[in-house]
Amino acid sequence: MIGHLWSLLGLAVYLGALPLGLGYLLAGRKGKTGWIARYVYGMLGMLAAFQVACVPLVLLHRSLLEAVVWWHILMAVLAAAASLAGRKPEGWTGEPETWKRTELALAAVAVLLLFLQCAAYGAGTHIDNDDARYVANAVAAYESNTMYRYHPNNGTVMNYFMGEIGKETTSPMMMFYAAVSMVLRIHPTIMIHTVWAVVWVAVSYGIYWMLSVCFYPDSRKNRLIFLVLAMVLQIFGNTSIYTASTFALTRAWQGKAFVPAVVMPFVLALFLRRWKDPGYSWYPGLLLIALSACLCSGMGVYLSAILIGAAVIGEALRERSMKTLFLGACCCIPNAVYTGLYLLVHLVIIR
Amino acid sequence: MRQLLEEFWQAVAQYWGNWRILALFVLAAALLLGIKKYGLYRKALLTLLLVLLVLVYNPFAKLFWSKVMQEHLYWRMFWILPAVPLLAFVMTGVLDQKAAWKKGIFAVLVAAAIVLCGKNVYTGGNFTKAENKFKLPQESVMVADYMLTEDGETKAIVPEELFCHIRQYSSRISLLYGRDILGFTAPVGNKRFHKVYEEMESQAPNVRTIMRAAKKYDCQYVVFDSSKLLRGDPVNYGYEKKTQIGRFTVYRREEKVKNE
Repeated sequence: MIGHLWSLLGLAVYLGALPLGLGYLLAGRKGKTGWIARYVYGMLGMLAAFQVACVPLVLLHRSLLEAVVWWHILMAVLAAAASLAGRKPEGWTGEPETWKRTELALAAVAVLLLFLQCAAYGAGTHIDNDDARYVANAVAAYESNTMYRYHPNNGTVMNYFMGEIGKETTSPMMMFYAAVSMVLRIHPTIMIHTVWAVVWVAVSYGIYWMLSVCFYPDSRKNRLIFLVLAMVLQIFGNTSIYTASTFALTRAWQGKAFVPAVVMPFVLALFLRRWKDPGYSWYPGLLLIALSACLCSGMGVYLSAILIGAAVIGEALRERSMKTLFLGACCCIPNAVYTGLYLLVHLVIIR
Repeated sequence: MRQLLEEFWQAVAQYWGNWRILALFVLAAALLLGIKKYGLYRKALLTLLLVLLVLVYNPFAKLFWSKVMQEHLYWRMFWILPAVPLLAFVMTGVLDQKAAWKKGIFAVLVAAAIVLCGKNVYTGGNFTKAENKFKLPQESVMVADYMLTEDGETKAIVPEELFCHIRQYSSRISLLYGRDILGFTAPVGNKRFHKVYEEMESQAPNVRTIMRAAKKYDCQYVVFDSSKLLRGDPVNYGYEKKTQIGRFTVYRREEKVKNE
């Protein structure tokens, strides 16, 4: 009974209060930021802090518990830094308006579509054999308080980071899941296949909402139409097994799905905000998403760098500013560092 | 050059799946290019699209990225193409009409375009009803549960239908081989493991090959697909039939227990 209460309380804290609180500090404290943007920023802050804390510990063969402790310390540091920096409100919300009947109807459709997509993960199953590596890694970490010490497929002790495990040492998304499960005392497979899948769908559409605020700051109706259309396009985006929509809606928990579901729309949202207001400081957001993308998968390291690079080049061309190009490139330093570490693991450590 | 173009087109076709959805995206980009009412963000989206076209989405860029990453994974580059935001933005603009009848007509056209060009992700068997809270096949959970109840920590040989799922349920069950036998994660070099896998997946598994390997590598359990005709009896190798779970028969090595 107490265990269940702890888990429920933990879910409320780690999936609700903590991201909202961290997001409150990261995305600006005044009213115009909007709680959706705060939640998104908070989640990305949690991921970024975990990435910084976990990778060195994985390489040093330390325990999962140590990763949990350092993760919390770094989240506190991040919160303190954001608090001292005193970010201006990000402006991810439209002007307050009275609700019209059409808007209420559109909002109801959006909520219904979101509910259906989350319910598919809640009540349904999508079996994906890649989980034999991903989820099994999280389960082994959770049950043994280690990180990548057991072969996920067969359970033998690994003396080095074998094969594809090498990619995960610098992108330990599964250790993030294991860490949260360790705190909440909920089996990682349950968390990953149900809770995290739903969280990433919600976060993804939260970012689409931020995009809609960029596009239509003065029209709630158009914001809602945009959101509904984005949802319908995602649902009908299963034209092949490779599409971004397929990954986002069938295996959202896997790190690689995080790229099309979260990284792409978030970088686009920052790019559009900057395009509208060249005074807007998009660098903290870019740094945050770069670190989060590095956590999610090896592809995330490359793809986020390419997309951030493209956005920065586009913006620098418009502003005709070398400074924008330079500072934007600096936001990809995490990608370069983790690529270097990955190569080190592959070319030096395991040989 | 022609080969480059063909390879690029193959990657495009592989990702998009059908030409209709690609045509819809190209049409949306063309509308964005041609219609100025899309305002401030028209140029932003077009600029980003142009930079991505130069950096990523062209035959020469494909050649470059294929050398940087694994060639067969180039399709993942399309994950950073803002296709859904662009389509939704253009479609919202199309629906933003003053006259109600125009709005209605365009709404029908947009809905028809999405449905006819796309494919619903919730059809085609992508999702099935969850059988348990782990979202794993129930038989694999029951087989794993049985082993854990009997032994706590153990090692097993299981058929392909189970080996992807067992260790998602518990890492306390080791396997002689898992998905790595198919070349994933870290390919298995031991030829004997491959021989065992071949026998396990054959229609008439050679029990001798399997059970001798099971004994040699200390596998407490061997799980057979009961729809297959076994060539030999596992009992002759010190294993006892313990239970039947769905279509799987679970054998447990008893000698070790006696020795203990």
